Amino acid sequence: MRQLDTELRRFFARRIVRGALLLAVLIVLAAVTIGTVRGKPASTRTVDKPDTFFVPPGASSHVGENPDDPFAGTGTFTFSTSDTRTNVGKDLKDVLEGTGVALVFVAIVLGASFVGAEFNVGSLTTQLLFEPRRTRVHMSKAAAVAIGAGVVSLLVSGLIAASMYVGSELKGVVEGVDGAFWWDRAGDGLRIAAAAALAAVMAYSVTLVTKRTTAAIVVFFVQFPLLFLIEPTSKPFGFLSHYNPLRALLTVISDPKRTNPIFENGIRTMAGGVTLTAIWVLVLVALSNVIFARAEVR
Amino acid sequence: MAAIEFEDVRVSYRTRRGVVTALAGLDLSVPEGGVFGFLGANGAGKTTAIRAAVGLLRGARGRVSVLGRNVPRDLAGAIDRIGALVEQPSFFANFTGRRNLELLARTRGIGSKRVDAVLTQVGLGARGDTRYATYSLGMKQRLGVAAALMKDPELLILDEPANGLDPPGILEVRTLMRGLAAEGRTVFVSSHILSEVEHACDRVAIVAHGKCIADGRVEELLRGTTGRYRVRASDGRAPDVLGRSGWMVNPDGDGAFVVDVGAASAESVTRTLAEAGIFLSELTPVARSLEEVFLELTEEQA
Repeated sequence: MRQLDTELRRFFARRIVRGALLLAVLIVLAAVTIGTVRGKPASTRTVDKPDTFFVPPGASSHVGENPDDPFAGTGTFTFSTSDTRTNVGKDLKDVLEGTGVALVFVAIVLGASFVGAEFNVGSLTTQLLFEPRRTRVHMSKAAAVAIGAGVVSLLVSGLIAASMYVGSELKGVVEGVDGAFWWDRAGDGLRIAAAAALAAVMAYSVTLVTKRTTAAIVVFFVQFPLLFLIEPTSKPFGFLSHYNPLRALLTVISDPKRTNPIFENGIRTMAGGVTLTAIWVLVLVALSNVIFARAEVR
Repeated sequence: MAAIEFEDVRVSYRTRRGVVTALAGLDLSVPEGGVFGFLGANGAGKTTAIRAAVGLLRGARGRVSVLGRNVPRDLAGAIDRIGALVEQPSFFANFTGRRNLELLARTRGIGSKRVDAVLTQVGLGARGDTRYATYSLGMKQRLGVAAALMKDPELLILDEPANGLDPPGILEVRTLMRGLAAEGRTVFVSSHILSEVEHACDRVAIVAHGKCIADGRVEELLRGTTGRYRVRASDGRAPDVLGRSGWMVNPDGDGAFVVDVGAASAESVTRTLAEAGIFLSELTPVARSLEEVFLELTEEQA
């Protein structure tokens, strides 16, 4: 526990973590504030049709020729605008899921850079002179990365929910916001936090082996996204896309019961996403542990 | 029981240019207590041996044991009794020196009072709360020494501790090592500053090409004639007389001079001068320096 406590302190003392949190706070507050201030209720406006229209030279139709022509005949036009006010009850779920994808990628950067920075400055050497049991060090760091990324994700999700609720109360719509609603959104937030935590652990494990942050960034930001281009059912490489960890993470973040093209041919259920993510995490953590235990640390 | 034991330790690295042997069957036993100097040219295998002893290097063949524990298998059982500084100490640049030490201390359950004590001990008491990134090379080295001392270790392993230190800093490290040895602890120090090792160490081992080529008490290694004598005589003809006998004569300041008689004895010097009617006021054999011994042994090995 002492090792985990130390790793958590290291995690939250890092400038990149604090910077990411500060940036997230600023973006969320700015977005919700602008959305709230500019939000307008739905409106309908009716105007009379003019008696005559200007018909451009060479135009094939003219007033009254086509019975389906909205400009034909006499009467009124009706213009409608949709409700753009902040509506926490209606929009929060979508906002959380959309932000969840971004949070997973932020978690990947935080997880990879946590140990990448240590290899970069060589501080891991000093740490191993105090705790030579490498499995213990590895597991503590993995746990710290998971907890850290999860907490960052929860804080951001919480801030989004709170600011949207305040925006809705001040100048928006508060409908259907009851205990059950918050309970469901808490579930969404926890699901996203879990996805962020697991993504961070995967990125951390890759970096522990490659010893470079950029390697994990390339894997998670380029290689895995590129695998989406492969049709999951095609042979012989469709399985690479089907079992892509990013696909599994997206399944955990989003509600796969809803129609989403991402899930058409790949992992379709939450259980499938969770299982696939767990397998990826276990494999990467175990493999990196074996390699780290035998590696020379400089 | 030896503090550190290397038994036929072999380490090699695969590189693009082929296999590089860092340790080629290192055998060395470091006794408990005192300051033990570990000498070797760059690339001789000093740091590799130290890395193997503290468990940073895995996959070494042979046997390494520290304080009676097999390394790396049982190192965890002895780690609280070992303090080490390996190469350049590395800490988090954006944390203060104190914060860096506190994070390390926490993993071993060491309190903040001990952190303050070691910071003061290495002369960083006043700079403990400034960021590590602002430290000079010498201050970084001092922080590394502080980290090594934090566990109040029985065995202190220092890899080039004088790197980046100014002369007072080097003197402080020497005093510190002697002080720890006086308390019955073992200090194992690698260095390329031979004069420093000669002054600070009780025993030394010289390593070349991954093997130990000499090992013993400093005075034992320095024993033996150099064929040089410091001579002082009131008669100013003395250097010329000795020079005419075919010996190399060099002034040594303060009116004295050093004569290199090679394989001839001290008696030859006194006889030659006496025959010329010159009588000596001083005749002192010039002792070998560790540097000479080191160069002699490593050249032989080459």
